Amino acid sequence: MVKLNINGVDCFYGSIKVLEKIVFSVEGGEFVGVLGPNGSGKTTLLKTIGRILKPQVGTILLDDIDVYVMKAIEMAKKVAVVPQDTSVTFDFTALDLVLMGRNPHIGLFETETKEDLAIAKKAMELTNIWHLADRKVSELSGGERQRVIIARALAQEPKVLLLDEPTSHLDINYQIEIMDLLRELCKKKKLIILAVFHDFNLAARYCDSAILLNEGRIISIGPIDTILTDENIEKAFRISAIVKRHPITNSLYVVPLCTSELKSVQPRGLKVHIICGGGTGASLMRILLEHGYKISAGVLNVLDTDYDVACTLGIPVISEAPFSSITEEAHKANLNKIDNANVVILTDAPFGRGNLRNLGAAIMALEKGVTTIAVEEKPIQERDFTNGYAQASYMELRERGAIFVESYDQILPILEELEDKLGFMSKVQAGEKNEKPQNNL
Amino acid sequence: MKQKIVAIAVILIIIAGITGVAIWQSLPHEPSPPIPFVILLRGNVTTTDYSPEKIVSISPGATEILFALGLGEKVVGVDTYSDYPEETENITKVGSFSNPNIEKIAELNPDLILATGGVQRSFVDKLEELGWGVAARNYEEGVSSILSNIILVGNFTGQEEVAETLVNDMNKRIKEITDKTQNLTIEERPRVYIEYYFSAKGYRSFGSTSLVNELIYMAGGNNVFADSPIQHPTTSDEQVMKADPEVIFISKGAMAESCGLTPDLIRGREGWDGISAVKNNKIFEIEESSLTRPGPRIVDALETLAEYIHPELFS
Amino acid sequence: MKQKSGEKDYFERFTRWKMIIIFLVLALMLTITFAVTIGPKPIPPLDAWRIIVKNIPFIGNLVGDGSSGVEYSINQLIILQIRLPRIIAATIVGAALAVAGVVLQGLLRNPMADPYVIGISAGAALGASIVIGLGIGFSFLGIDAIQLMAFIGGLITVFVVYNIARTGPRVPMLTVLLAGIAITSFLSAIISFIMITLGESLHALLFWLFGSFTLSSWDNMTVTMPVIIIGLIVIIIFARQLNIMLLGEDQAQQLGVDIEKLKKIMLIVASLITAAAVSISGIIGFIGLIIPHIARILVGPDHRILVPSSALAGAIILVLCDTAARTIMEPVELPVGVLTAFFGVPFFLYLLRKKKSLVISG
Repeated sequence: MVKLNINGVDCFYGSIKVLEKIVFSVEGGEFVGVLGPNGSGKTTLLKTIGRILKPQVGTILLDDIDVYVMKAIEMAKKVAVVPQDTSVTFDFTALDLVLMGRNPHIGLFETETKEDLAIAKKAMELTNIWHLADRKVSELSGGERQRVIIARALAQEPKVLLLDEPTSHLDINYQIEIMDLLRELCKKKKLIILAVFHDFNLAARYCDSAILLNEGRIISIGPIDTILTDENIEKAFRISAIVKRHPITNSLYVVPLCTSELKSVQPRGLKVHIICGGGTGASLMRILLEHGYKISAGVLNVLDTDYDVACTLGIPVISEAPFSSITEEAHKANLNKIDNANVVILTDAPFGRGNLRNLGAAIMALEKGVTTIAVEEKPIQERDFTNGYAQASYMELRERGAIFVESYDQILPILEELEDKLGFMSKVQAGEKNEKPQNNL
Repeated sequence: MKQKIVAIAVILIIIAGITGVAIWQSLPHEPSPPIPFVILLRGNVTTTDYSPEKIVSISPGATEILFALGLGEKVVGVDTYSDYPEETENITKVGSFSNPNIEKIAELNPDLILATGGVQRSFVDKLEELGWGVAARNYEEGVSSILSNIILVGNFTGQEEVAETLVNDMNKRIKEITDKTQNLTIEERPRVYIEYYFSAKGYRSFGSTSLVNELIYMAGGNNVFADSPIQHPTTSDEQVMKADPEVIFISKGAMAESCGLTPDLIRGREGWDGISAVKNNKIFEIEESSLTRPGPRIVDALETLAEYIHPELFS
Repeated sequence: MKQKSGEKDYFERFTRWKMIIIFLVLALMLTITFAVTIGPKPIPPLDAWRIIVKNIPFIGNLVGDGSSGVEYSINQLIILQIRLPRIIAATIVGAALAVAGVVLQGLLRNPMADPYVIGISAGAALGASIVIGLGIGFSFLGIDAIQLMAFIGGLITVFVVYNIARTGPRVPMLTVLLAGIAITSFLSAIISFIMITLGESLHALLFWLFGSFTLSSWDNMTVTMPVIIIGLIVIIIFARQLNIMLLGEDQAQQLGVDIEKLKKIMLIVASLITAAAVSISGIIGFIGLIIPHIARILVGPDHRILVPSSALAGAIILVLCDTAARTIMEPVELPVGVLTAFFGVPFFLYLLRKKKSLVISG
């Protein structure tokens, strides 16, 4: 089985160090992703493994032979490269180009044989471009060209495939097709595949393991599950994101939240308690969080998606067990939370017997003088499953002076006014208020 | 790195070499190698009985010599510059002086070819390759070379007597002039300036290595550019005014015609009215082909020059 | 050119290539015959061929005598010593320049490249200037001084350019191009300087610089012909690798091509054949630049057919131009370089309009 060892490699462009202390090993049958922000050295890593950029320190061993000691032709028999840039403006046909992949197997005085042609054809059929065989490469679309280059790499019959963003120009159907193909070949023929990805989700779906680079160093390496974590992504990309496992494909996927830039917004003093449910609170929670408000939520049933979101966002939430109505305990805890808050926001959640008490909590908030905002994008009539009790509660909310808004957009300005009134704003926020355009909910 | 140094060293050596060559070339006391008069015969000639039936001349001077020796009818090919005498008009042209057409010459299959060295050298080599052997090369220079060339041609065409007569005649006429002029001192020799062409770059005259220079001296004058080692020096208003020639000649030929060089033009040149020759209205024209061509008419040119330079001695 | 794919269709291309070559070889033979019969003295084609064939060793004895006598021997002289040498010289010079142009355009991935960009023409011209300037007239092993010095001058200059561009074991082609251009300018300045100091010989130098086959002889070709022929064969051997070089050096290397070795060999061979060509005929332009494009438009970019086609096309066109040069303004001969530009360029522009594209590499 083929193996690749990178031992303590440092690479330079001139006097600038671009890769430092790179160490890892891969064996045949492994599909390894190379991830990292721009400039972290991903392409450079492929270049140095691909015998283009010789490392100043360290060695790269393919089946225990230093690749820089090997001749180009020996290397080409084992390693095929699909570069990032596939722009090409010459008159060769797609078939001509794929046949060039057979070069390592054709001697100086020989030409392509029927066998070479068969191998090329097979590769082109696998990548679905055989019908383009006579077309000039310069006339093909970016995606078609990319598949030609991939076919060429396959025609080399390599043991190692190095790919630099192999699907960046492809439509989603081809992306899946090519990646499926690569993975199948990887497993069936025990190839080593090292691929640079920009798309985490794609990487997560196809890679067994990954290398995460940042500023020329490996900051994490291992099975894909351990690499794709919130912390790693934040550390390397300086963005807060959430990594979840998709219920259908069972592979990880990454959800970027906001840039750290916004996260360093000054925390505001205003404390907001959100009464929501049924998914109506999710984006509100996120936005208020991004704007620096301290949030709590409740009461939410643990099966409710709003509960899920609140937990994910790290918002303190009063929860209730599945399938049960709001208990006295939960209700009391909710009221407590409301006592500590400056504002209560009631989203236009559906109300049934189970969470009717939340409306009661909102009414009590008003009794205590806590500003309460009620959102009614969807009228209460359409979300009352309590045979009228919810509507009645809403009427009481109106009487008691709750602020009714028709859309979520209107919430932020109200909160800011409130902050003014209560004297919470710091100078920074004052400045922000004057400059920044209002966010939409 | 080492090989970069080698590369740079090679360039420097080349520069040094070229500069050396250029300097050496332009040093006044190093004349360029003389250009020979060449006679070629077909095949390996061993007999001394020369009687060529077909003659080709690619030198205008040689053409005139052939006609002067009465061999005009035997001339089957000439170069495009051979325009004297009139009969040459009907003779087949075998290319220009600097670019003779070897094939045409070969086609005519001459027994005798008259050529020169210099720019024709490689053509002479080619003719040798094709089977015409060089029977004689005359490296002499100057007016005397013309005379020896005539003798040479006479020898190779069975016209020794005619040649001798012609040369004697020419010598007599030359002597008539040089007897009176060769002992003239510098002061007694009028300063002579001959111009054959001008352009924005300057006026072109004849220098020390040219035939014209010698003729002027023989005619009793002193070429104002007698010191210039260049055959055709270019000069300026300033230099001519400084030299202050007493007699000015225009060498009338194709080049003078092409730039409209006439005595009136010279008279009209700014600042030139102070020059002696202009003041005394001693601006004359002289036929270029007789003046510069190494042929029998050189004596005519000499006589013309003498007449105008020393009217008191010759008329 | 529409090519077909599919297993057996692909291999049809090799057959098609053979047909193209045969066609071009026949065209060349026709052109040579035509050229041999043209000249101030009209010689019928059959007589011409008889004379030629008779003088080929061994085969010659099989052919019977035609006419004889003075007329015959003059014809023989003209054909064998005047016309044929220059026609054959034009053939090998045309082939050499065209192929050198193909190689350089491929290595530099630049359609504007011609065989002179790396400095050969300036170096050869300098060699010739020195010889003409000094009035040297020796012959070395039958090779005359101008030819020898032009050849050496060309090679030395390429050597210098190559070493300036080289960094360690690698030769970046862009640097070679820039160094070549710089050195060419530099040497041209020196040549101009020499020209000023020349008197009479200026004309001879200019004549050489314009390029001509007027004085071609068999001696010119004793060394240069084998050099050019071997050079062409070597280039054809590496033709497939040249295709791959068009992808760019990184990709070519990763497809198994030893790029430094290939560049070195190709540069050396291209330089040798160019220097040899220039030493025979002086500097003839446009062949090396335009014939590769003409060939590429007609037969495609695959060097395995492009190289031999360019060689044959270059030979044919140069022979035709030389023939025109010596007949148009008879008895005066025009420099060939004038005609290559005169006919080559419009033909190329015509092809360009038809094709509407001029691509060779990315």
